[in-house]
Amino acid sequence: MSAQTERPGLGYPALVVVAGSLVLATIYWAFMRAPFEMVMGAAQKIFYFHVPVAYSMYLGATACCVGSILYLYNQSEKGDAAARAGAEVAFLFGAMTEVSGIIWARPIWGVYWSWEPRLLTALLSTMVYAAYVVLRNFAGDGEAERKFAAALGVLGAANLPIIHYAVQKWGGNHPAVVTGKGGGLGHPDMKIAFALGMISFTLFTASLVWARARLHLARARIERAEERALELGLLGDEA
Amino acid sequence: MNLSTTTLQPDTTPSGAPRVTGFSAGDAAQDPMRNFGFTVSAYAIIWAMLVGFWLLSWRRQRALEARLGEVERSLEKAAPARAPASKN
Repeated sequence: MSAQTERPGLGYPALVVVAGSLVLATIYWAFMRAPFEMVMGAAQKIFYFHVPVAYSMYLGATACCVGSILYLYNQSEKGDAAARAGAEVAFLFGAMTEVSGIIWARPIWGVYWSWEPRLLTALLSTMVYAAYVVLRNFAGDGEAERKFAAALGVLGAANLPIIHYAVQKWGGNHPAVVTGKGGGLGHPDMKIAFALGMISFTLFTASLVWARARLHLARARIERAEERALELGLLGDEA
Repeated sequence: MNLSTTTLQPDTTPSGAPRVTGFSAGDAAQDPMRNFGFTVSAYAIIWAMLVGFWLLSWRRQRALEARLGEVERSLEKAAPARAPASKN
């Protein structure tokens, strides 16, 4: 066994720097270049992060689904780590989507919450990934728990297209600016701010999934090393 | 029930306004800064959550890598020394 811990290459720091720079560019464009919206005023600026954050939840959930399938197929340690990382990121961004949406709804709709299809299905997904995170953190790390979580990770992804199409199929009051057939984003600087937000959060999500997956792989390696140390009598039972 | 043709909810906001399908730029807004407090709150909470998560992950990763290095080094030192003893 090598005593060297795995050193990250330049890929991860470069990804973080590029993502961080683009996030700063998004903030600049959203607040300094994009004009105020005619009806919503300053509250519309929440849009430039609310939608990319929701999209990031989709990305995390997709990573969780793909990792779960890999784990169910060949019990891959990397697949399990990716699934766990994806679920954590999906939960984080799901919660951020809910919070930013609630705050945006208050001045525009007059209420913090409305029981409409997209809000409800998005909340459901957030709760699925919250359940996944709780399961993995508190129910042990045996094969049965991993397989159960992987099944949850695969089934949880089934809700993603439902969230996306809920607003078109079942009505409701959620804005349909990006995928709707209305006016969309009416100013070029609004489009640039939104595009920057989508790109920066895609990269930021990738960096978070990468970091969390490395964390889980490191934890698995430690457990294996400690098991070996116990077999050799190098560590006490408390290890 | 055919969900593809059934609209379960009216396409209006709780205040009765029609669903928004486009954002229009305009200086005609009455006091565009009137909801700025909500915007600041949303951004502050989003970034606090994101930075908190990132910092926790980074600290955890550093601690785990340090622990892994220690375990692996102690194994590497001790294993060759114990191997001949196990033959007796």
